[in-house]
Amino acid sequence: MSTFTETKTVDQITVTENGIVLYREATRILKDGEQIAQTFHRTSLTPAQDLTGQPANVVAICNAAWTAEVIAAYQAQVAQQGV
Amino acid sequence: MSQVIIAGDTSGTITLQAPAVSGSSVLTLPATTATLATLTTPSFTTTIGVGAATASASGSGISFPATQSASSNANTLDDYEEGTWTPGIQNSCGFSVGAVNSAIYTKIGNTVFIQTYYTLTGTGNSTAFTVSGLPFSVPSGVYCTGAADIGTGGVLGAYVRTESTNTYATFLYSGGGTTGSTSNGRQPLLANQMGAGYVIFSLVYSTS
Repeated sequence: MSTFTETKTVDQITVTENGIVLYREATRILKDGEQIAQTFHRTSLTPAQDLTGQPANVVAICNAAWTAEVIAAYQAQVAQQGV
Repeated sequence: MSQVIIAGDTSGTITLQAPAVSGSSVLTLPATTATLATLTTPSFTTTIGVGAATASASGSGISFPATQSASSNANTLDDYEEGTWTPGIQNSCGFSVGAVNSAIYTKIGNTVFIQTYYTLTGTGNSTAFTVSGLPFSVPSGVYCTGAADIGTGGVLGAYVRTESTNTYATFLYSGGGTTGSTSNGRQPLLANQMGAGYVIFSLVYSTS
């Protein structure tokens, strides 16, 4: 009998010039260890955004990228855009 | 000097083999009456992996690399991806996202298609209503718009627009005037102009 396994992995993390962190979570279905299906879910996080519930490796990157200067510059940009 | 062995048989099978490499590659011609010209319009019944992508085990089609291998050639399709994303609220407008009924995206080359349907909870205040969490960022100087359906309240003609170099989109409407966004021109849709119903919108935008 075949064994099916589901795994979830953050397989892409991108940091944009203004500090936005985008990541992709891949959900893979394995049959006897061989991948037979894969779906993606994407999330983007803006500087100073609440990181509750986010994957640990994403949180680590956010904390490294979101310096006080980056946060201030991003908030100034958003304010300039009128939001 | 390297050599390649080419062997054939009467069934239409041609075997190519490099002696220094284990294994061989086999080409099978469709019929003994066919010619090599048939291969100029090949037909595949399974998936094809490009850019070293592992061809999908299901269905038929083209499998792109999981991570885009960007091409600078304007005639080259270099990316395809579909999935779901997490819509959020960009600022403290009194609403939070309730149930996400759908939030899907498809990226083809440098163009992203998204469709979203989610409910709102809370009570809106006088802050502009924006959606955050777009699955890809928008390049500098690029603005794209889409249609929106505000479940309760809203303003006639409201639409959604991406913001440059960002991953959020603002809901706007025309103020009916011509003197700019700060007076009677384009206006942001405020959260207190909406009810805690649902938001549906679709959007096509560019990414880098």
